[in-house]
Amino acid sequence: MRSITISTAWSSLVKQEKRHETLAGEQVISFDALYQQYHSPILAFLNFLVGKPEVAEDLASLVFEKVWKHLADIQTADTVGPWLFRIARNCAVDYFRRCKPTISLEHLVPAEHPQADSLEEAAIAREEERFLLAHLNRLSEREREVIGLKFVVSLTNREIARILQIPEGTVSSLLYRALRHLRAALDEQGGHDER
Amino acid sequence: MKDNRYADEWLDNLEAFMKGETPPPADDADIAHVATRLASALAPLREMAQTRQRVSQRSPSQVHARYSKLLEKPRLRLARSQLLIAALLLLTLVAGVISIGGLARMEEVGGNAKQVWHTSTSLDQINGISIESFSPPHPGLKPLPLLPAILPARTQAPSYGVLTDASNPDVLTTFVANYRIAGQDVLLYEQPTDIPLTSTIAQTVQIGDKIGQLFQDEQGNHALQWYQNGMLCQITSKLPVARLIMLASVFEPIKSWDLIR
Repeated sequence: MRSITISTAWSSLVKQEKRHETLAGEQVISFDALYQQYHSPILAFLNFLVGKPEVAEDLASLVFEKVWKHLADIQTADTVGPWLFRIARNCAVDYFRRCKPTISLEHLVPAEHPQADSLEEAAIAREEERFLLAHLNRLSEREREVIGLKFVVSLTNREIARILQIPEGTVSSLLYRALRHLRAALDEQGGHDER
Repeated sequence: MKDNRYADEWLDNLEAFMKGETPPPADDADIAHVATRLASALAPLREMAQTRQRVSQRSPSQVHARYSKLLEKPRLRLARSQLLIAALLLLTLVAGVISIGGLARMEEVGGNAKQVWHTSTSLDQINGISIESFSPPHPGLKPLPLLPAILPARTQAPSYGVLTDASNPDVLTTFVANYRIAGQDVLLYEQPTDIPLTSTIAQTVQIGDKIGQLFQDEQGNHALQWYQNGMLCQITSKLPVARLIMLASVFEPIKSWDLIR
């Protein structure tokens, strides 16, 4: 069974694409490869952005409809990954333009915390996680996108930079700034145990 | 050798960080705590991104079922008479669409890929930044940015701001300046980088002996990007492109922060 880590997904896909095209030369197979490779990360990213699984599913479908329609526009296989995530991002932006929902990710926090040593630690961890998820709403749209691509899709800064078409250093700055905002909010809320 | 400019280098590879393979520097401990909590909180979505990918790899038939209509379109085989009827219907439909002003919509559909590209240029990065939130530059900060050697007449005094590396305040990560030229804001944005970025969506333009990339958005903003002296530079404005190119062609590295502080 193929095992592809997310961080190397693009380069792996380039190889797959070439192989598929050599073997069959059909667009359909390339589309399948794209779907298989990217559907889950795209869906997870959209889930993060919109906070509603059913909406994320719809948007993911829309993304792949657009992919099918514009497959011929893809210039090189290694631009596919960034292109797909940009379409996903734009679909989410369009969704927000149509309706302005309250995004809530707090349902993600598990009832039990696997990494905590004690009940007290688990409770603090859950509380902090819930607070951080709620506070993501206060980040800028761009900061949220960077957080999603980093913490959900597990991309490197370079890959995120290619998706958002910004310098790699800007990704670093946005990421660091977003975490700093969250840290400040956590301190303000007083929910952080000093360590 | 890895570039050490960015404070969150330890966070570049999230998986390695979560496994403790890339520990953060001591003064980033509080940020690392937030990163750990956030990574833990978002673990269900991360698992979704990874686990379901494997499931979908096993069932490509589901892909075809879901997108069957789209996928089957190129394979349609019609008899000549059916094609004729289809062509007539299509002509009628097109005429109808045009008559009710649907041409614009058709153009939109035809140029959809371009539309997607255009809404995701690096203009966004400028929109998210307020110069007031930046620190003023200080002596010793490196690398030094580039500025236009000649400014158009009646340019209003620019304001400047910098972002620095969190672990070393003498390392510049971002430089921003705001000029007012001919009644328009002109934002300058620079970042030290080893990699000149190329975009598949931007228009390539010549800036003197340099190659630049031009982005545009629907609001009439232009963003001109180029690489010079180790800096990725970008100027964004509603000014005509020719004026931006002219401005970009006279950029030179400054010799001291004293010039602009």
